[in-house]
Amino acid sequence: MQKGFKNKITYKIDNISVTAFRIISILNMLLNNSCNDEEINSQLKRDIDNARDLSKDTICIYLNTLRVLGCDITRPAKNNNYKYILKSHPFKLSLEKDEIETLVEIRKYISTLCDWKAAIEVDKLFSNLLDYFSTDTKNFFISAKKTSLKREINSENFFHEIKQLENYCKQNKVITLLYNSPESGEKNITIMLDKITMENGAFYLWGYNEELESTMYLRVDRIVDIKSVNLHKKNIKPKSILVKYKLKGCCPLSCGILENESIIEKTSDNELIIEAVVTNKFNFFQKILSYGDKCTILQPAEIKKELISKLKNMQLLYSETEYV
Amino acid sequence: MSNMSRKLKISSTAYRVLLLLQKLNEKKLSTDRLNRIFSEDPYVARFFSKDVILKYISTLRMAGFSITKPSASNDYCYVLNKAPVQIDFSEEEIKTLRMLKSFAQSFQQKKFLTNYYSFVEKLKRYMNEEQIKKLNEEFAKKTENQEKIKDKFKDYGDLIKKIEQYIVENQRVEIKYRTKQDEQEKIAVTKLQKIKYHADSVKLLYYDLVSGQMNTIKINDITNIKQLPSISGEKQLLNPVIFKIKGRLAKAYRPYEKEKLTDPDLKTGEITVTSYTDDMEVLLRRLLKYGENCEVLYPKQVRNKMINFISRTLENYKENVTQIKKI
Repeated sequence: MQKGFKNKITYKIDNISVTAFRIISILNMLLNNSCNDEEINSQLKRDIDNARDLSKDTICIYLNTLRVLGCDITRPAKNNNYKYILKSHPFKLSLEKDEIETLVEIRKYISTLCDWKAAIEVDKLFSNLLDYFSTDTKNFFISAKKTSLKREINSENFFHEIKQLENYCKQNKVITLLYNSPESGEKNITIMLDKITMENGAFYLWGYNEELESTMYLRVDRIVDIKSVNLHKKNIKPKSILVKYKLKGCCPLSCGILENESIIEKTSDNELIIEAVVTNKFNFFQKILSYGDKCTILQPAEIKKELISKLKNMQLLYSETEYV
Repeated sequence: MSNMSRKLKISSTAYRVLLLLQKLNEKKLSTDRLNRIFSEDPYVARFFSKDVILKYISTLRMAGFSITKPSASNDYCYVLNKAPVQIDFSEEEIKTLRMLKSFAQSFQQKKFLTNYYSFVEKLKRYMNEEQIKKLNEEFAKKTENQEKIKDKFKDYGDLIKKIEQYIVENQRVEIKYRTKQDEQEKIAVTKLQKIKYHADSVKLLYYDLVSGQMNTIKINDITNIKQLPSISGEKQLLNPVIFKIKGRLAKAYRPYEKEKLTDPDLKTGEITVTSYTDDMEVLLRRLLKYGENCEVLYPKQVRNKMINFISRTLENYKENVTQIKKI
């Protein structure tokens, strides 16, 4: 976005304040570019007929008038080429609380759709608008986001451009990245990229780790660096397990079938038999557990056994501690 | 800054003109209101005649600002039609504004659409005519995707509007509903709180006046809703659910809305979470997902509910469990 001041200033004699006219002209200049005394005087001569050169003191008074109004204007110094720079001004966009809450509510809803692209686009728009908000509006907006979008990861914090990561996914590139794991700290991980998803406010990069023989999903905001991108296409066939499970009391529309799953049978008792191609057991078990008693794994036996073991550990947890 | 201000020499007239510009940018103002602003400002601290204010307005008009004169249609206020600065929106951002509009429409609630349009009207003050034209063209487009978004909850439109009205009026209502698991219809006497949107479902958050708890119900499970005579004044209490998180989950856990965390235990690394949830079912499904890394501590009925969930799930595998034991 660019800051801009749209109108050309001309000069007429009657019923106007010439001094105010000059200061508006200077403000106009500062909104477009940094400037020095010489440039200010040149512009004033263009804007105002028969304008005389202003002294440094007069320009100072005019700039102080803008400062008192609320403009933040730097003083000429070596590090800014001896120019005045307008860093902020008070002509900001003010929104009502209801308007802000509506915007935040919409963003919150987008998060529930797990639509990472829409989320990124909205975040970009909000981030740019933030520069133009008045102080009160900015503070309320940030506060509303903090409350309602507590879990949302700020996409501005991503090291790498997410669109570039998406391109790598489309090409199934094998990349080595430096990842900051909450458990084990920074480490290099090599994966063949598959897709980007969004869940519960976080963005995940999915890929197959040949060494671990499993699909991983890494939080994009935890990617510290991309160490290398393999130019040659590797012929990696991800290992997967075919799992069948039963869901009770669900209709196909509401049971949250994923792209790696398919309904193979619908019984008369309103039960669904689903087949899933599982490449990440942890993620799969989380989904199955969340269904509670509505879900039963049918096969293979080792996956069924693993889930039963998890359930028994959960049961043990509650029997070990007494409720006080 | 205030010390600096006292020492600063400024142009008083120019300051008043700029102050007028700043205030008109915030909202439309009458001559009386402008004078009040002048009198309250420490650098002005006085009133001015209508002629003087008109002179200031003329100066701004001469500088290129479009200011509408006071009339009956604008409550006899001066209106600054365009902001002093412009925001340039990219094509992508214009499309994003269009997408936001579709989502606001999809909620089927008047307030969201009113607030969104009001926001856009304010934005337009910061746009040039070309950008406004692009935005209007984008708004007028009817793409398949945008229509799909907009009509998502169309079937519940009337019910949502009815509920919205009850919420605004702070009415007590009786809700009749039946979930898939219920054999019979249930009744709740409630004070409605909020309509919540989650992916493909719309839920109603309400305070159950009989149980004294906050509950959530899917809008498509509602069979009837009617207003009750008296207006509610009850205080709603949100009962906390406390649970412990451990293992690798504790290191990476990010709190949800209305959740508070303790610091990790120095020895075990476990964290305790207090959740003021308004949707128990959603919370329990999430906690189940955490497996053996999560334990519900309080209240007892929720802890027991978890224990029952786990037991009933294990029952599904009873045959298998017996077989494993035999081995």
